[in-house]
Amino acid sequence: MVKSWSELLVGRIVTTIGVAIALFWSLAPIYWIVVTSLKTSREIYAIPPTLLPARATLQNFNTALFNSKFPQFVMNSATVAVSVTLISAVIGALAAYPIARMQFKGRGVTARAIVMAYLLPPSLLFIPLFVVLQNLGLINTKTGLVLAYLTFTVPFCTWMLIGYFRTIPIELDEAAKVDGATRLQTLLKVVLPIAKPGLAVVALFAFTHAWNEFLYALVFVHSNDTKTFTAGLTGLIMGDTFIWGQLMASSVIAIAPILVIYIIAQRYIVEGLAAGSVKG
Amino acid sequence: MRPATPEASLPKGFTAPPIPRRHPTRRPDWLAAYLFLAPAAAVFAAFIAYPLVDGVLTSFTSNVVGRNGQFIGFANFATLLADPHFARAAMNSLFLTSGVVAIKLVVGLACAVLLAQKMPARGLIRALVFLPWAVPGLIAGLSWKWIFDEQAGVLSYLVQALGLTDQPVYWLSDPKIAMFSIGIAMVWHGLPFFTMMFLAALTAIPGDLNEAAAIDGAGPIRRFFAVTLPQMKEVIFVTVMLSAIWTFNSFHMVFILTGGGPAMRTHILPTLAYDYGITQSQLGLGAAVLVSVIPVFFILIMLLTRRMLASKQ
Repeated sequence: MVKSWSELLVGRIVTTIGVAIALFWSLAPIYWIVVTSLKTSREIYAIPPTLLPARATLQNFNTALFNSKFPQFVMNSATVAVSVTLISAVIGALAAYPIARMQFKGRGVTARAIVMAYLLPPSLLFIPLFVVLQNLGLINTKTGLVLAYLTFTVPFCTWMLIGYFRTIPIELDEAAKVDGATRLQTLLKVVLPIAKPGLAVVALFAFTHAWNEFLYALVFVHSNDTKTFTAGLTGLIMGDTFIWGQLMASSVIAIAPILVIYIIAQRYIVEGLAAGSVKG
Repeated sequence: MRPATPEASLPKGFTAPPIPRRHPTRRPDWLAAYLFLAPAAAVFAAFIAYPLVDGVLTSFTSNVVGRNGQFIGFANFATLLADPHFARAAMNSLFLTSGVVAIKLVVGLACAVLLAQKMPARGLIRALVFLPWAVPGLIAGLSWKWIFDEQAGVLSYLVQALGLTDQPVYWLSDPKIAMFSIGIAMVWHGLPFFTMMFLAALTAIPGDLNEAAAIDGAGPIRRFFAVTLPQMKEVIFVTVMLSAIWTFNSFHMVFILTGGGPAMRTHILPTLAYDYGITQSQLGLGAAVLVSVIPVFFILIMLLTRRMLASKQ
């Protein structure tokens, strides 16, 4: 395409300004979290606010890591998120395989139920789930929280894996069948090894969801041994006083693992999002 | 489907040749299928379907936390209909969802077009623009709460330093402004999802139609609306519907930013349900708040399910 010189120049200028605005909008709040976490409590409340800490301090991180319950909350989060990831990857792979590959009565209904369960927002479910977990004696337990998270991650993993399994040529399954492999052997030894990248992305999303989740954590767990960091952070909010330095330092610590994962796997994440329309 | 047994086709008196031993995989496939689906079905039945039904039943009771009440018919719903907080929360939910989704749609399209342009370090710029998506919702809420802080917040300082106003701005404690503040925080957190979806769709559109239109003399803006946008219809539909469901349910933003206050005037339906059901322990009434929106969600989810299944066939 031929464009005039002036058209190109205008395009350049508009693009540059647009990118600058988009970057500022996206990054400024994150920058503000980090900068605040490095300030002394006196400086945090200084007017005018300082763009860079006058004397950067790790005091807030020190308090968050060694003088609060926060590390325990992070450990709880990790336990819950890893359990949720493993369980939902296994259940999801098992459920996705027949839907992607096998003929059976009720396949259409099953696929529909999975999508609907995935779309069902957690905030519609939290009161009845609270009642169910209470009846099972699982309120304020990590097990209960894991079970609650499965309501989202299992439909989600299943739905995403159906898509990945469909991209694998069915001839491979047929060859395995001719060789006498059972369906389970086919899934474990033929399909899953090929679907590994897909499985990794799915696991990553399940982990992120369980790690970031707030509402269920707030409602279902409340003691120090069970609280995840999201529920724990709200404990730092006492009435109208916010301990901003410590809150922001804790936030930086909690975001760090997710950001590392995100930066490493960014390309796959964007592809996965486009493929399965993931919760934002 | 299965061939007729050999015996049936043979005249009487003949013995059928020995049937080869059944291969393990010749066992009916459906049995394996159901076994594979069993764990997922158990999760679905016990923690999705049952609670959903139980929630509907609870909404007809006077249950409170730790004690079962009794069946009281539509009394909870009658209470809600006469409850100004419920009406306000419903209106807030409606305006917040439609406003935030509309802004994300328009700005998301613009951002996607912008990030599709050739530029140096495009991959890095994209990753940075998508970054808010990776921030946990709770922390996004906390971050904006601090930015909106009325005494020491950076935004209050900025508007006064720039001379936009010399009055303090009550970002979160004036209910009228607070809804906008909540909306801004929601747009910040939710925009990257739109941008990512639209960018993926944009890059998948073949360039030849666009070029043909350019040769015919259509300018870039005309080409965008006449050629590009129609090809993104499906993605736009799915993205808007998904986002509408999730935005409606952004419990954390309202909970962190205002907690529904002041005077319960910034509640949305999920935070109101939390307030009634958990904080005030009136499970029946809380469940009724949630049940009242199930019909709306049912329609949204049915529409979206059909599209999502169709796109995967």
